[in-house]
Amino acid sequence: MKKKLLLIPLALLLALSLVAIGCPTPPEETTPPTTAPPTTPAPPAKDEIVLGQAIALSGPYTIGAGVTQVAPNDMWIEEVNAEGGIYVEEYGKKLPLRLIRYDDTSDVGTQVKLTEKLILEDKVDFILGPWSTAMWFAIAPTVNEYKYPVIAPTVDSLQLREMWEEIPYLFIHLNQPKEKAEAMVDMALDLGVETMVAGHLQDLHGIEYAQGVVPQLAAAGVEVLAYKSFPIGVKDLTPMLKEFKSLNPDAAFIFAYPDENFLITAQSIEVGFNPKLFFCSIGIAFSPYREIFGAETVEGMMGAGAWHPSAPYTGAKEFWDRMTAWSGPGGTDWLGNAYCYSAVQVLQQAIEGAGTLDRVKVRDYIASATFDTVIGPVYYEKQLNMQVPGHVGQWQNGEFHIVAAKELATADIIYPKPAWPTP
Amino acid sequence: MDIIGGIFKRFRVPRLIILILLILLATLPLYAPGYTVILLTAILMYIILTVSWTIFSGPTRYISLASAAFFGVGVYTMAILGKALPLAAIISIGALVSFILALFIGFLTLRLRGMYFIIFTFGISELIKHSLLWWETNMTGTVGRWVVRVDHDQVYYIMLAIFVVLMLTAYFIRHSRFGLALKSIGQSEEAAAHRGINVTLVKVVAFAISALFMGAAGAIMATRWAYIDPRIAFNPLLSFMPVMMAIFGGMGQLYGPVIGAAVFTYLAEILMTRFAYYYMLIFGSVLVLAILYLPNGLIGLLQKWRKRGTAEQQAST
Repeated sequence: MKKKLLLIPLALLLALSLVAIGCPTPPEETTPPTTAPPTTPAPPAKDEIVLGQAIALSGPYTIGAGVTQVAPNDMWIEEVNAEGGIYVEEYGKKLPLRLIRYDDTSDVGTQVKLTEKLILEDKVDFILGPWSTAMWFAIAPTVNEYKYPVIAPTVDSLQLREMWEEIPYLFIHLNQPKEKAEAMVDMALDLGVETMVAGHLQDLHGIEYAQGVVPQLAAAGVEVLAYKSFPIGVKDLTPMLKEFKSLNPDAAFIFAYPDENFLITAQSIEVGFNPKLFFCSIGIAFSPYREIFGAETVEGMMGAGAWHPSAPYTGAKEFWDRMTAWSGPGGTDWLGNAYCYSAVQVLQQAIEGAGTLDRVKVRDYIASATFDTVIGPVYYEKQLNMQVPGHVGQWQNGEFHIVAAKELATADIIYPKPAWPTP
Repeated sequence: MDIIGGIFKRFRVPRLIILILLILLATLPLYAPGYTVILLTAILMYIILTVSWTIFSGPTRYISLASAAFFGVGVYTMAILGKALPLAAIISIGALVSFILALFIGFLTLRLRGMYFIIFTFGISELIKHSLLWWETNMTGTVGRWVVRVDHDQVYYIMLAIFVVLMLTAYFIRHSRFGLALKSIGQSEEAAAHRGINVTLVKVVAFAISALFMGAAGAIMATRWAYIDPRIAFNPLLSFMPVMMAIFGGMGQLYGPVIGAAVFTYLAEILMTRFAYYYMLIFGSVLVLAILYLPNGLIGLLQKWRKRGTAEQQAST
């Protein structure tokens, strides 16, 4: 009994010492720069820019994060370093980039914790940020508290946008549900859609997006034959799709993530559901989508947001050639890659333009300047990117073309959508 | 006098060490770098989940997978009431709601045993998650909520306070008639019932006490997460983690789950930061090895070493 009791404190001590070992106190020489006021005339010597990123390398977000965000970020870092780094005026030289990347395991709590680790312990210069709306929501208060400007290319939410005044350090880079929805409504009415069905995921993305599209179409006289919702992780949607098929609508609008949209495509082929307009929001623009089902099968399928290398933007085509070489033709994301790449282009140009690594100044620069990127001239109003390359994309001959809004289109809409090829 | 001396000898040293440790932990935010406090908060959270899970599941051997439900109820309490009430009140309400929920689930399910109980407890947290999702989708029209932000030192102190109360509770339960009753239920429920123990009541109360602490931890942890939705709050991983951590640490002693949770959380932290690309691979291998070679967990290993040490000592004298 005595021995056992002795073990309790020993165990606690062991646990604590393990913690203490793992949290090395910051080396002495790094302390002065952080305590020095940011207005010091001579900035501390620096020979690199340290970037931090906690992102999903395991868990359910891995594929989305990897295909969409990790690849263009890595490519950008390699490109910048090949040229010697980013020129920062206050140091009078080019500083190469170094990335510290952590795995957030697709968990919000871990994401917040690791972002704080990057800020407090690693003292990174800038943060590249996570993947998916919920993650950006979660780190918004943190980056704001520590005044780290972040450019969010993978966030899709009305709620976050409405809070712009409270989170001045978060810039929303992706085009948002409201505008995408308006473009879709116009497109559907132009095409003469008279009846429709809709299905959405039970999460922020699905709900907000569906609320932006379905009531507006209904108000414009389109008959809504069915309006369904389903939970994340659903494994069988054939009952819903069979019901949709029996209603024989002109258009089907699905607002969901890659997992569900891939499932819906596969099961629509199975039950033979083939409306004249078939739209699924996220994941359709992935090259893996075309690879899995085949270019012929996905012909005419529409997805949310669009970008195409033939759009008239600086370096768009060259970027796409490099991206395709980097990820392989089957590993790209026709929408997200360009967005994620342009987000880091903005960061790079802001550092160069502001001529400093002072984050408050860089933030103010981002908020006020215009940036020449692969998605066009980006500028922010109320921290929302106003430059949008396209709202709706469609697979045509193995390429994901911009088809709406009309003035941005790189190809004519295929309507009605061709039948699924017979196996 | 000998007896008193013996008691003194037996308790003085450990108590002193515990006291020093507590003082160290309590003054930590004053001298440690900011991230240490944040990491320790996360470790304390898992310790709380694991130790409270062990209060009920350790002695009775009923494997509960409802931890996520109780934790999530706390999280949601904070998300809903965050702006309306003071922090202490919300944490108490979160704990109380979890307690009541556990009483309710307990009376409903603790007549079930083995597989049936495990599946039911897992089902209940999924049920709550999907009910909330349905409610938010169809009634409020939006999924996800912001949670009020609290300074991380304050979160740490609250977590530490919950931890201390929990350890005291666990200690007293272990050394009380109530604890013995729980143990006898684990050994043979029929025999316990024949000895006059009201087995259902004992089980339900222990289950509810363990839920109380999970709810409190969830309520305060929510402020660190900033944004929650039902999938985040009722993440099934939070049901499995305490079980794995308790097994990893060893359930025979009170400090087993503490070590298990601390080492486990810390190991995960190291792997996801230093070996980000191989996190799951390494973590999985460590788990498999631990289960294969450490049947009694980390404390089993410690005890083995101690025994070997004393045996060698005896041999050499």
